Amino acid sequence: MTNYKKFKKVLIANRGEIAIRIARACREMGIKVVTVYSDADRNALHVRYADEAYHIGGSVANESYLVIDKIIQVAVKSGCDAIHPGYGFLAENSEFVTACESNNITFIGPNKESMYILGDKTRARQRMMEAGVPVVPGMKDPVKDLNDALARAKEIGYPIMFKASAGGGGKGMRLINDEEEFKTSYDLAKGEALNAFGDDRMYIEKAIINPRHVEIQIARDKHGNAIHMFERECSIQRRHQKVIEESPSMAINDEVRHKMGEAAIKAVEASNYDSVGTVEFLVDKDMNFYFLEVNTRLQVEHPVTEMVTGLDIVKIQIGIAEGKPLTHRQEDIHQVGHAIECRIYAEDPDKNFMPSPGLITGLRLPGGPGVRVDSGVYSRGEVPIYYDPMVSKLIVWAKNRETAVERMKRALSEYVVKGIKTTIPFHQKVLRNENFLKGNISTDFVDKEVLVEVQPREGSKEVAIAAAAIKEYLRERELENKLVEFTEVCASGSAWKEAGRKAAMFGTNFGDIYRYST
Amino acid sequence: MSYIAKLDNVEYKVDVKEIDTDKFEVVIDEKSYIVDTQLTESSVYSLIINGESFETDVDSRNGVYEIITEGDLFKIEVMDELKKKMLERRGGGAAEGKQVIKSEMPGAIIDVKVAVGDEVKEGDVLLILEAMKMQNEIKSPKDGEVKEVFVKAGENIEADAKMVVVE
Repeated sequence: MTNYKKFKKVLIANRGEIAIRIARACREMGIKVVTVYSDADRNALHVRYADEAYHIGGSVANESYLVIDKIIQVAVKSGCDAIHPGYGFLAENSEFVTACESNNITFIGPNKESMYILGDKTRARQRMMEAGVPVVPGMKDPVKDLNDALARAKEIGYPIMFKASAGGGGKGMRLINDEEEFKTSYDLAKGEALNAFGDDRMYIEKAIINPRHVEIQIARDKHGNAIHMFERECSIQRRHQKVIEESPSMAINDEVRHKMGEAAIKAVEASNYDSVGTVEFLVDKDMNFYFLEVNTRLQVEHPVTEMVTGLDIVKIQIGIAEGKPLTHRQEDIHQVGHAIECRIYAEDPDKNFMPSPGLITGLRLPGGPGVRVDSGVYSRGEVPIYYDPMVSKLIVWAKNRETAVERMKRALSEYVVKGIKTTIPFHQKVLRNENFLKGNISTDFVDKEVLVEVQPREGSKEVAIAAAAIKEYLRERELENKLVEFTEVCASGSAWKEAGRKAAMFGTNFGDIYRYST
Repeated sequence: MSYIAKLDNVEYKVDVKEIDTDKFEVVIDEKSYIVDTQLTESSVYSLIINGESFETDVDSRNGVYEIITEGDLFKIEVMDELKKKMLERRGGGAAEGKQVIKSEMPGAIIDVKVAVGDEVKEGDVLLILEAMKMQNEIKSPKDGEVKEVFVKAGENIEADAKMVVVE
């Protein structure tokens, strides 16, 4: 039996729902949790949930969650054995791994070399071609400037995808249909990449039309044992950002499923990978699959796989980092039933998905059979402007896709978030869409179908009108009461100033009173 | 009280009568509904209408009610006769005259592309506002001259802050 470490204390270098998710796994494993926070996050849930929490700097991620030295310092001081990076921030930063190693702290993720190879799309693609895994045409080195980019795009042929080399998660990645569009969005895309990853290198690849995004969850330990945990279908995207994921995928059959699983394992073996990870593929309508990229981290949508396999991916990841061999063999892993995840963003779907940060004034979470909520927020909690707008993930499981969709609709209707706008109503619309129900989806489904057409409402018009009219009636009655008090103040001979102060105190203003008194 | 409710550019005649505590008769285009109303959590109302139970989320923004029921948004303007007449007299003004461009959300100014005195065309990018890792181009609503610029790059602003004036 091999020697392995047993972590006693782990630092989570992240925030929001994923910090909570990791902390939950730690707690179940008897590991103490240390979290870090920025100025904006003193009241965040991950701080309240932790055993220990330390302030590490300003609200902007560059002054806190991205500052390697500060995080390492906290880990050393508080006596942590390991650091879990979550996703985003430092999760795929090999300098961070080096910093951990030189301070004798285990990085919960892959070794530096495999992160270096797989984390960069250009290098990863080369490895895949060598390993015999099919790839998308056109990917090359980062472009030099706009002229170089235009020339290459012309060579490959529009439409193209313009992607950040350090990217992922849909940031700094755009579909470009022609040269004019490329000229106008070139700087913007680079600017986004620079802000999100501190690296504005971009590359071009051919856009495959109506593709499906299907990815394989894998795990490989430090002893060379590897498993895959089947696929996730992630084709429901908006602006290339995943919004709904499910497992299994309707796009592939069992034969292709197993082929993809084997290809995924081959892909990570080629770089001696030793953690959990995801191999992303594009699948065309003939079930041909092309390697897209490897995400060398825990994915946002990992719960979908957990629901259909019954495995805990975070615990597996921590176990691998401790040096333990995998306890599951491939033949022990089964895909049972159907799981769906909806990502709930603090965005206003009725205003072109404009970010909607702010104070959550009310919150009711869904529950009941087969429902899981991974959330980083709470009632009276603040959603800051500085970070990703995803505030929560709603995941359901049921015995087949049809019942899972019904269950998701039910859970969404129970979910109430007040004070900020969220994408809950948008998800309702997707789940009602005929083509979604039939499984006729592709990565441009949301942009082309859901957002373009006006979706029929299910709510009753009369109910809404009655609610608005009653509210107006109540508002006017309240104003009337205030007016009475206001008149009393004026009648007692007070000066205008006094009246103004009183009016302010009553929470009304002269405009309202004027409106009512005429 | 008699109101005109406007939803999706259709007007409905609505009468509201309080018949008991928390109980209303609402007549919408001559059809009567008995509505039992309870404010349950912050702005969520439980309505029982002729025995059927509904949940509505009631917010108002710029004088327009935003009602969410069954996950669907209804934007409803409720007016009495007086207000309706006033609005009609004023007429609908498009992007004419002085335009004050305000932020719709809190965020950070990444770049200001214009300066006072610049001539701009409708759709020209005035500045770039970043919130929650997304960069948003703020465009000019009209042709005109930049009269005032209230913000500079690197600055954080609140929702509804004045950014640029174009005239």
